[in-house]
Amino acid sequence: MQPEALGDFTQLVQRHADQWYRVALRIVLDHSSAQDCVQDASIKIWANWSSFRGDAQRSTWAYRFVVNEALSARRRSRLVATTDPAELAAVPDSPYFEADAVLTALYAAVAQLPEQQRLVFQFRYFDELPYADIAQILGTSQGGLKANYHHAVAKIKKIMVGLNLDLHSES
Amino acid sequence: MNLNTTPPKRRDGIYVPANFAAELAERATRVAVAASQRRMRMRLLTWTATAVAAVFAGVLLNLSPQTVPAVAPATELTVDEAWSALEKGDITLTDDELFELAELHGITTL
Repeated sequence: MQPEALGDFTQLVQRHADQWYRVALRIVLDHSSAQDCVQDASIKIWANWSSFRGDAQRSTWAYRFVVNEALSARRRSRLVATTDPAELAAVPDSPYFEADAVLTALYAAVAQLPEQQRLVFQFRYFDELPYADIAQILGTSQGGLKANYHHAVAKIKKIMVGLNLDLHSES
Repeated sequence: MNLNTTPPKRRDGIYVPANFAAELAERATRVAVAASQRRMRMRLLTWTATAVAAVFAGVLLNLSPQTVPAVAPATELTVDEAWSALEKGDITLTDDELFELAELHGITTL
């Protein structure tokens, strides 16, 4: 691989490592697993660097590896029964996570969503990513994403209203 | 001057310090490059082994017949050769063997 490519790769990782960690942590809910996901995704990103077709932004393309890696890790960990209260509560177990009662309730509500709705909600609400980028990351249509987000918000509102808490809503 | 070193507040409650992000990025890059180099070495080893095997197989298949050690054809003794050897006294035969050889040679009288 050319040194120029290595430079671009290094720059991409430096620029997005915190965001990749954040995304992975919200999926796997564990600090060290999230770091492993970022590392494993980086290995795959670099291994596939030359196969990038340029039909999306390089960073969006790379996001996909992180999400897939985190989803795989989550599925693997789910095969093992857990007694970890952090995981049972669906709140990230990390020294860099802080949540008040509302946010904790929000995470608990998000955990009740189906996988696709959960991901769309997290990208849209937490990261404020445009639908076009989320569609590239998840490999789905924007129309489907909007529907998923709508259903996710409706379900979360219902759960949160039951808890007598308020969630900043977004159309 | 902004002296606030706290990472910006995020809706998801995750605050990633800059030094942690930098360390993670450095580690991830190093691991990715090392894995790539390992993969290239493995590929090189595989190709080398395959090439050596192919050359060896080619040499074996293209060896000329002259260079292949020839298997000596089985020698077969003719009746005439046996008779000559007997006349020269190179071999000795029992009476029965002598009688059989004479019969084969068409000698019925001495």
